[in-house]
Amino acid sequence: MDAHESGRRGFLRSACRHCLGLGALAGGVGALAQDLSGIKVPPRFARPASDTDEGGLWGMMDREEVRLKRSPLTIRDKELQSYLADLVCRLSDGHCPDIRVHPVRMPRFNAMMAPNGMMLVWSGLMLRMENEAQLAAVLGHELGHYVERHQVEQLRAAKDRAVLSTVVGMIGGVGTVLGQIGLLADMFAFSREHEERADRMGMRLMRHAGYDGREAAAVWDNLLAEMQVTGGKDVGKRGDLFETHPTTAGRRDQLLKLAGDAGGITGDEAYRKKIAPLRLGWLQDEVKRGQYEESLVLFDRMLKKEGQDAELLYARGEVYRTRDEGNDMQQALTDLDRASRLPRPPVETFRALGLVHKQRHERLAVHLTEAWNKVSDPWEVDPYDTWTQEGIPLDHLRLWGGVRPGQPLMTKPAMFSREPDAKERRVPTFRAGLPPEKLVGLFEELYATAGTVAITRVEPAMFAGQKGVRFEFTLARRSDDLAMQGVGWVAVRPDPTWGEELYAATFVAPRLSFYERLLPMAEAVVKTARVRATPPRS
Amino acid sequence: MHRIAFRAAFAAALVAVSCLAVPAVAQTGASSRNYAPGFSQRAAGSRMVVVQTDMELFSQSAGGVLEPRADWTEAAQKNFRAALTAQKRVVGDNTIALQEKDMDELAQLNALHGAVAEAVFVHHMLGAPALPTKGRLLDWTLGDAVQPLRERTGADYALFFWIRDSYASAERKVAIVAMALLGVGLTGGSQTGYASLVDLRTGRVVWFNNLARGFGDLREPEPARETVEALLKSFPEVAR
Repeated sequence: MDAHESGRRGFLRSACRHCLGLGALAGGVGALAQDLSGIKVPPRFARPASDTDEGGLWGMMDREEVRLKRSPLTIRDKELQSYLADLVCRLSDGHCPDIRVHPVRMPRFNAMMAPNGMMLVWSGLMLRMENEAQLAAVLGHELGHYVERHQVEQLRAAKDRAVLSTVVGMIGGVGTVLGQIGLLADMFAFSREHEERADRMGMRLMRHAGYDGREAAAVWDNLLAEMQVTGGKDVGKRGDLFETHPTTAGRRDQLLKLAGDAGGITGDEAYRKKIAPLRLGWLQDEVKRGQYEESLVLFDRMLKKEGQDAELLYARGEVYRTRDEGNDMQQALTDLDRASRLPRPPVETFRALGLVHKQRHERLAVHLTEAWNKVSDPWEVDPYDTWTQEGIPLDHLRLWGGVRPGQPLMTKPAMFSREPDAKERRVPTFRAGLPPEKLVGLFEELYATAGTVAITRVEPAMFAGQKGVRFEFTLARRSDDLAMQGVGWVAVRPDPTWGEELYAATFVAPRLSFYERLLPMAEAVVKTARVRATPPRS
Repeated sequence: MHRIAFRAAFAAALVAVSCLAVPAVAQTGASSRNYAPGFSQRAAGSRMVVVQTDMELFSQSAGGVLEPRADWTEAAQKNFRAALTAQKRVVGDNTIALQEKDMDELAQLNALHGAVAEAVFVHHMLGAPALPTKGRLLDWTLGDAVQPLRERTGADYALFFWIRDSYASAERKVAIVAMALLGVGLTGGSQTGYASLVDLRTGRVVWFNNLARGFGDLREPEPARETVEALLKSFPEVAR
């Protein structure tokens, strides 16, 4: 670093101290600003000679960095890369030219900085940051370790001087970049003292860049809340930030004290915009971790701020759907349904909805006495299974299993079946306490989307082991004027959780030739319908 | 009008699918897929009745909305009949033509054929999805619904047609060119046609073919001849 540059930065620093001092005076916490400005950021350092222990460490890190850059884990989004690089530049107080930031797609809360200037930021961390200031707090903390060269100190403090070569040897044996990064992180587990120093340095860096220091405390608050649901028992075994950054209860309060109340930028909107194009993938990664309780704390917190965010609703719905315990399916349906009604929901929402319905109506078990063709697929969003003998344009056997009060019998009547003058599409919805004729009315409404329906007969009958009704109807199909004949069975079963559940089946075929011929096959299936005791887990 | 528009839109959508996924379907040659198992030609000395084509032609507006055009349909019916009559390989001395008044009683049978033909097209020709119980065979029947037709005509076979064509209007053509300049491809109408030969003793569909393509025109005699030829390309001969 030449004298000119150093002088210029010295000037900037004094100017900043000045303005922070003013702010602090106005806020009445002058002492705190004094506290931070006492922390000196060490100047840039040169690459160590390769025959030193530190030089060896750098060389190893350089090789790992090359591998990482080529790995599929690296997020190759130019916008995000330059955003992070820019943020680190503003924070790092002159060290910018020596630092390279690599975002990596890993669903954990972690960031890491190697002594050669390689900084890794996990996507799981970026997902959890609520604003730019929080990200600045974590990155500032990592920069703190770097500028004070804690990693090297850590290495030298190790009793076994061969630790470096051991680690190098281990890295050769681990196949994935992911595994290697984990090992590197282990190697740089910091001491409590280093953590405190990095906290102070991080605070110094973020506040000098103009950010609200109190957000640093918010980071730990949020993270601790997430960890507490699982008791934090295996926190140290999962490659999270806690593994290498030991924390104490007092840490949050200490950060808050350091932050003062001078305020500053939080950058909520700017941050949201930057990660928006990538966030859905990160949310899906989070769900796939299978740490449902932690994910729920995270998504609940995010939804408290953004209740109308379709991506978040989708993600939380997916957590409920995949966990599938107790009330989960109902919660999943509520979230996914809400997401699907918002503008531009993720397309996966509809698939997830279909899977919820599928998981739900798998409660109805039938035995197929003859071969039928199942024509519903996982993308289908309707709450029933569809089977056919001769093809969809001709006949279908539909089965509903465990429809709960408030749930529709069909999700989306097709657009083409709407009359030109129809305003609102009618979606028949099951309610508790409906008398038999009203239950039959639901199916009348359902088939009215396809043509003109007339109920010709209603009689008591058993279905799925329950007392219910059997009904017959005719349908003049609107699309081709073909006269169809139909029959249905519907029964309501008391349910300890929902009050009631609806089970039903319908069979429809052309009146000419088909209905009489195929009806016995449909009836044979319907006769075997039984309710499963517990829904199968997917 | 609305309901007809749907049917044609559905057919048009299928055309789009078939053009992308299985281009071979559009130019189906004679193949076992067109024939029911065990069937290869019409019985010697057999008689065939040709049922009036279930046909509807549409104009496609600039925005792609389909509107039925009765004048086009009427012209197309004439052109289609003329082109069919010229197909001596298909129709001959032992062919019976039905009168318009016969159609009143046969309307449901013709509608049933439309539904069966659509099922054959979707599940057998396109296989979207294929029905495992059919084992990839042409195995559909209109059942005893054909009995009245056999009693009335004494024929052994019946030939059914179902056709929905749409053509781009002048504004639509302008829109196609304009959007093509912007790199967006629009469809300029489509031709969907099903033809089935049905054994009147059993109701079985013994031969089936379809057109699903982005060209073809029934409004003029010459292109109508091409359409009929394409649709009946693999039509079974009469055994000697």
